[in-house]
Amino acid sequence: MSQEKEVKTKGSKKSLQTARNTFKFIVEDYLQGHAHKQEGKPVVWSCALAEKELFYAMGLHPYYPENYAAVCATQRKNRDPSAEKEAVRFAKIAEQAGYSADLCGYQRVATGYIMNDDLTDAPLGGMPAPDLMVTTSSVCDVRLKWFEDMAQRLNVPLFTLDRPERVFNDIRRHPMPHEVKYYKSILEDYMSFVTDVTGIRYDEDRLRECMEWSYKTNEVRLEILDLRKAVPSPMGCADGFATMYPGMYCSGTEKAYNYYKELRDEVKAKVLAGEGIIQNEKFRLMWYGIPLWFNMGIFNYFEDIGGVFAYEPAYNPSPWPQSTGDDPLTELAIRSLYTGTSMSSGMSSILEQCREYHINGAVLAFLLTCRPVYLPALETKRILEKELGIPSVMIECDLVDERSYSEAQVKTRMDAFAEQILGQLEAKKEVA
Amino acid sequence: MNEIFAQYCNNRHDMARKWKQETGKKVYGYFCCMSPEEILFAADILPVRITGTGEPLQKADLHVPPNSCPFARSCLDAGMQGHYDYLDGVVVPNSCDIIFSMEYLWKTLVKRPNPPSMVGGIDLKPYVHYINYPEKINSRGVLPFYKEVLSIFKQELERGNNRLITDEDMSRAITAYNDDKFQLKRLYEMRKTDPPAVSGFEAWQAVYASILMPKDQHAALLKESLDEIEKTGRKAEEGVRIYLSGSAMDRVNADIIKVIEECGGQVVTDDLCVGTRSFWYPISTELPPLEAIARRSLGTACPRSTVKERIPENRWAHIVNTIKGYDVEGAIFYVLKCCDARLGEYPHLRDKIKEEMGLPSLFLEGDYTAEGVEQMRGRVEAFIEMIGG
Repeated sequence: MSQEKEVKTKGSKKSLQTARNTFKFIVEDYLQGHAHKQEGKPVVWSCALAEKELFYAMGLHPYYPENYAAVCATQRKNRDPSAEKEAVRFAKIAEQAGYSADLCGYQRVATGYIMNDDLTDAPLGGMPAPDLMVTTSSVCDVRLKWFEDMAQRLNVPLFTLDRPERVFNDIRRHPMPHEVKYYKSILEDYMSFVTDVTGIRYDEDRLRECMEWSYKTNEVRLEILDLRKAVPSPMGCADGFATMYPGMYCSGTEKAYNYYKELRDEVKAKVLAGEGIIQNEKFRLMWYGIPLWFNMGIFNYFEDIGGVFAYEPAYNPSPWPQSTGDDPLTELAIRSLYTGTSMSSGMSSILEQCREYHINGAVLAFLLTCRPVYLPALETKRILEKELGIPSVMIECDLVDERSYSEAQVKTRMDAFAEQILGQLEAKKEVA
Repeated sequence: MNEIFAQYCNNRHDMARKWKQETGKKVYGYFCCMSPEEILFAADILPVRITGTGEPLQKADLHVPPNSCPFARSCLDAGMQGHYDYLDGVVVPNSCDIIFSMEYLWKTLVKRPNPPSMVGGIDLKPYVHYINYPEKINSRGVLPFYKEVLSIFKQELERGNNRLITDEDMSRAITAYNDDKFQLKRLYEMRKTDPPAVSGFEAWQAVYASILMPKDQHAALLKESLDEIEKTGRKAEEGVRIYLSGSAMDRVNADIIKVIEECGGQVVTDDLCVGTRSFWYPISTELPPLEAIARRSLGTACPRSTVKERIPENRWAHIVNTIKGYDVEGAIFYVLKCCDARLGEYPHLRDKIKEEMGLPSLFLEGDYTAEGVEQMRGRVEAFIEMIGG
């Protein structure tokens, strides 16, 4: 990675008012967490795919170092335009301490942040010091070792939600009894762990209530996804990524449900009015992977030539099995085990999604330090081309550390890609 | 140390093919040392660990990105090129993210010897067997879960090979594996002396051969060699006593051990999956065999796993167990690119080894090529000189 080059980046232009309001939602959530901590109530640090109801049901306010790293990717110290982004500042601290520059950007930024001694010397006043941490085995190994390392550094107790990593690309989606039993035992152990650390006891009714909010939120999010299939695209990736925070990190709360209801209504109105992100939509793209948080403006790149980023598989909900009203821990275990993170599961679903969202091309974020994203990238490219004739282009860089970003290279590739897609569309028109 | 070990190390595929031809039995490949290879042995199958070639890739680079694990990419490339065409099955545990992806990649890209037996969308005789290995290896509910995982694997093997695997078969396998572990432990004990009886590279060769040949034969050959060493009192070269901690190590990158020796060091013990992690702890003979095998597998101190303790330190106990008594003077961490679990734990282990044992560390990031190993010579030399004075 080059050390001191200036990187020109910008935020995205969002088409939906709800999306534009999300940062306010995030700031309020952070402030609520700080107030929660000041009242002497416990704060947990965790990560995506941990079931958020587990925190709200136990009276914990969650913070997410990965999301915080993304925030740091957009902010400079004291808003000084000549200062490097906070993510870069923290990543350098970690690297100087021996953490490889090849490690996950989220991990390096968060590690540098906690090594910086003062947790408040950071964007949004930082994250309050955790009373406990909870990570999950889902998605990547890094989050195990990273959280272990943070627990060791901060001397804070850690619990790992060990969710069996299931492989299904056939009819065996429903989890097997031993998988459910195991994950339920993990959830029970989690409850005991929180009680031991904080003194707060597990309240089944409270968990049920949080889960009900989650089910309702998930249903609305699925509705939104369905609406996004419309042509022209009523809600693109700039809006999609901007609006993921309440669903990913506040699921299980009424405020998350209300947020998505408002978003759903806004998207629905646009679909009914036949209104798209842009006036004259010519081609639709899929963004594969996590975005480059430091340069969200990339999602508007093709708009002046009729290209829209219409769909992103990351962070989106999938249908859950119906709530049975039985023991909530069993229900939560079954629900969680429906999520498949293997390459086998991923490949079949990506093909299905490209068909449903009428995708003409894919931009693959080849995130150099994010193994679950970069590992399937070449296979995704191959399969899209082979099965659906969909061309794709790869954008190489880190997800939060802009030192790896080459604007010239990305623009050259994106421009050539746009020409390829437009050429294909032209050829199709001629045949027709 | 033993000519047959050297043959397995240098011509592993020829040796496996020859064994298959001579015995008429099946050979399965597996990834990672936590794989329940004892069950394969019990089914009269030869389990061989899948390793790479170190050669430039010919096929896998179109499917697996260049910044991912060079060892795993090379393994897949070897499979796609047909180097493993003698395998009748492949076992993929959910160890790290990269090996987990082999479940898809091997199944999709490597030619299997026979067509699948599909019934209702399920392959009844899979070529690639997935082992859903837990991440929290000592949690309250892990044993019943993992026993069921292994039981399903056993049933797949039984269907695929048209034979039952009885408890007696598994007890026989456990005995063979324990005999081999005993001899390997004996080999490591003989390295506690100064100078050690056996060099680091010779010891690595003996361990590497153990994951490529039938365990009972390996144990017998190793016993013979160790008896001979004891009788003659032979010694290896003296050197600065090194603890080697690292990623997967096969014939390509094990040359780092030779480089250490050539620079005046002597690897006397290790934290390697082709090393102590593959044999250190015996399998219980008191428990029902499936449970004993499950416990052995869960006991693997893989950097990717975690434990239930509040401040998890799952690797530290193994590190202490394998350093104690060896008069180690320095630690070398040889970590392959993209080995994120090892990269992530390195700063903590470096500091802890320094604080609690007073040992200096050297970090080497490997690219899984012979040239890359050679380029490390200068740094290894300086490190050993710094310790040796």
